[in-house]
Amino acid sequence: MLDVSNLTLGRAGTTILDRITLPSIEGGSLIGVLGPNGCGKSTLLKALAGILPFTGTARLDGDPIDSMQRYKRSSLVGYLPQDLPPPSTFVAYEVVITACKAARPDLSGEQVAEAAQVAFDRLGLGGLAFRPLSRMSGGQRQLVGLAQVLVRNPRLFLLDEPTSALDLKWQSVVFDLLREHVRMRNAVCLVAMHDINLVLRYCDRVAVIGNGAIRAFGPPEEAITPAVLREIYEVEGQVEASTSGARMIYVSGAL
Amino acid sequence: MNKMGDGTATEPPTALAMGKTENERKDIPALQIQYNRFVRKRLYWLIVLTVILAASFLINVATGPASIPISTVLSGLFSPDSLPDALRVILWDVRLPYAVMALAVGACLGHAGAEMQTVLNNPLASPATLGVTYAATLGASLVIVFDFTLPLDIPQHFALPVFAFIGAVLSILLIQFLAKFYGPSLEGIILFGIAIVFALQALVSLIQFAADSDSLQQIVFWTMGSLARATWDKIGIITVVLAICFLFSIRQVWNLTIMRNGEEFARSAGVPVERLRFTTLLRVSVVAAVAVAFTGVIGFVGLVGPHIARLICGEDHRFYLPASALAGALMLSAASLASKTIIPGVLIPDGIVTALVGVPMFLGLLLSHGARWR
Repeated sequence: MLDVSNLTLGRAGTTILDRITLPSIEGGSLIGVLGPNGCGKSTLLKALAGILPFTGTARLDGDPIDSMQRYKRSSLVGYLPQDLPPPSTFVAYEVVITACKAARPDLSGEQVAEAAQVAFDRLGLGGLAFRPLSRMSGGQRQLVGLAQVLVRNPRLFLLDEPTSALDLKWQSVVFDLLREHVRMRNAVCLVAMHDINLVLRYCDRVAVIGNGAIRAFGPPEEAITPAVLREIYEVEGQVEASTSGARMIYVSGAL
Repeated sequence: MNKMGDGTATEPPTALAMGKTENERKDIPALQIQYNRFVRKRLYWLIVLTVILAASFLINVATGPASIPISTVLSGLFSPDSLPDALRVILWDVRLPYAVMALAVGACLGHAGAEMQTVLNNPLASPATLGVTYAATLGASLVIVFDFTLPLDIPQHFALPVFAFIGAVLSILLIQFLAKFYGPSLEGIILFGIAIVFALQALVSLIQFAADSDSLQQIVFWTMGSLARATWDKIGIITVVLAICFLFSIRQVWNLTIMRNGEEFARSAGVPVERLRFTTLLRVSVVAAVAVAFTGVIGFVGLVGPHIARLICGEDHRFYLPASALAGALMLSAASLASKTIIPGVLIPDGIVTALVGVPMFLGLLLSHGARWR
């Protein structure tokens, strides 16, 4: 359960989000965070991860996130930055082990090994596990980043554009896996996204950010309307239903 | 506790079960088995490095104006009384301090360079980057020229190392102080460091300009770095400092490892990046300062030692930190051997020889592995 109320945050003296409040987000839900470039999606995720200071309250299962001890927070909150893991000499499996040792020293070696095996299999990384990140593509490195955050098994996922470097197949695999994981473990997952079609397909609810405030919050088909697209993204567009019943947006042009 | 409980409840440890290798136990995932193998390989390379180091140490001890057979060196090491008096004096009072000092100082510089490269996220970082060695030179120059004495009955031959050490630690505190006020960003710290390096160089030049020719010669000799001033008490001080700092490093081993994946990634795993950098730089400066204070400036080891370690053992800091210390010790050990043998009878300052010996060693490794940095 995630409760956010009256959250104000900014950087270098400027306020980016001003006293935002979200309805309680219960466990098992996948929440899309939408908004134009620079609207504060990443800033919001970083604040909830405890990396940026904020005023107001953000509670995870009743505990204020900003005053948690380091290891408590790193065991409960799994933040995946927008930047891909850099092309280092580390092999993929090492990255996952290292992240678990640093963030979740409470997990046993067996727990990590089992979770890592599942994550690598599901994300198609089995054959790449012992390849250095410097010899992987951007998309593969993004999957490694996702694998380590899944293995950490947090209560709150904060994923900043987790599919930005992935092709169509792996976008779907990642979201199928995320939705399944979040529902099974009753976790909360916030994903900052630009791809509205993926959000329409997978997210239980969306928060649309614009001009420092939450402009809309609710199930994707209700929150994403032509009026919101016009106001927030400054594009002319509409949400249409395909023959199979799936929803998608069609953008006809910028305003 | 869990493991014990499971083991006794479901499967009593029979001889058969205990005889199983790790791979045969069903419950270990395939990737973990591969990883265990991967880790064992690194451990194996760490042992190989240790053996090479031990060999170079023995050769170093055996080599000199009077060459001692290695078998005699070994027996002299373990039972000094078995040797004739003259040989015992040569071994224990001349050769060993020199050779052990090479190991201790090399290990300090290698270790300091490794941690520096990690927390500054820069492959060109070394103990010289933030001015540690220059500040030590300034402290030493002040003692040489102005002939300071120490309070508290500290022997006068310690004046030079003490002032060199104080200089080095002050320089790093100054950088930390500046960083604290003007934002502790990586670029900020490196730029402050560069500015301080230039300021310190200018101050040393100023002192050299003012010094008489005798002092000037002493300063120049100090900046060439030499192990010849080795004594057992100096070795003791360096070893204790290195051991204490190494223990603190080991406590941070996972945090340091994750730092190599970038600051943002480390922060996302809950690592307090700024605090880790502060404490690590402080620790590294103490290690580098104590080594340099007794020997004078020995460059190159702190820069290249970590690269050799990285090529051999990767960047998992459980192996990278010890490997860097071993590689540093090996480089300086080889250099001290070369400094005795290049011109027989003349002891060339080790600071000069390190690069001459280290560059071929490093290039050889680089060419055989291919560049693995990035």
